[in-house]
Amino acid sequence: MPSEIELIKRCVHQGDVRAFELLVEQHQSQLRFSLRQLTGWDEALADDLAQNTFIKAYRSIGRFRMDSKFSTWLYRIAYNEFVSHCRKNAHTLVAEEEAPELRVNETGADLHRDLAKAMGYLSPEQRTALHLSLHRQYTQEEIAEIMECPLGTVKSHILRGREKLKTALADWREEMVL
Amino acid sequence: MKNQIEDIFAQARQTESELPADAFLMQVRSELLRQSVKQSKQNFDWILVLAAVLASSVVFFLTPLYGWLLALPAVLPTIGNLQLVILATALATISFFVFFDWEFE
Repeated sequence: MPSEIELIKRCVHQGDVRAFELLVEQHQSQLRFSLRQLTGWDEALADDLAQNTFIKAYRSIGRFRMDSKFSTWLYRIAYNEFVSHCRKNAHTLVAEEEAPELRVNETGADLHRDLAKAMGYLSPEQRTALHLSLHRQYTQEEIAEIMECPLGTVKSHILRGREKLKTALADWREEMVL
Repeated sequence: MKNQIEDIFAQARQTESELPADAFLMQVRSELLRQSVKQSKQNFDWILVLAAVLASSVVFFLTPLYGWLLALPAVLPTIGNLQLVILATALATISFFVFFDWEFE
């Protein structure tokens, strides 16, 4: 299996589509999962955004400077796609009116859906910052690079996101304690 | 609660399963192909417009007035709005110079 760097070089220098497909295979699962989390577990929308992300990545892979991780660069494109979708469809991705019902003792699939719904309380920026920090475990510097904003703004998004999520998950905590 | 939130995310991370790549890869592949075909078509359209401008200009000089009428119906249905504007501008520019040439004569 060729290394990621090798695959990227093959894409850039030889326009090797097969090499790009291998990159898609390597990253598609995490990226699609992240986008599902950010879109309130809308699988079709998340896959559309992921598809656009990979198409844009293919078109602009020559501009990838290899001074950061490929996944970071990919997430930056995905984040821009996500934010741009949110701006165009503000009414579909605003915080939900009713508190989400987080189910305990369920399978992971249910937890993922419910967590994604709870994240609907947060702004797209807070959602992204919190997901990248707590789920993907990116450093705050990497998140700032992905979201193209100052480090202080990332910290603020994470802090406020946590606060809002705390409220959204209060019922869930009580059930866990019991 | 801080730890609780981290626990929830940790649980979500641990239970995250690999999403199958095949169908998604097929989608990306066909979208890339579709866009590539579209791009080729657009390039072909531009070549067609340039060829049409050139051809119709030649025809115009050979058979004044009727040349446009012969060339345009074949070209118009195949091109987009922007190209149509450029084509019209090109034709107008050529017509302008031709008109003045005639006037000067």
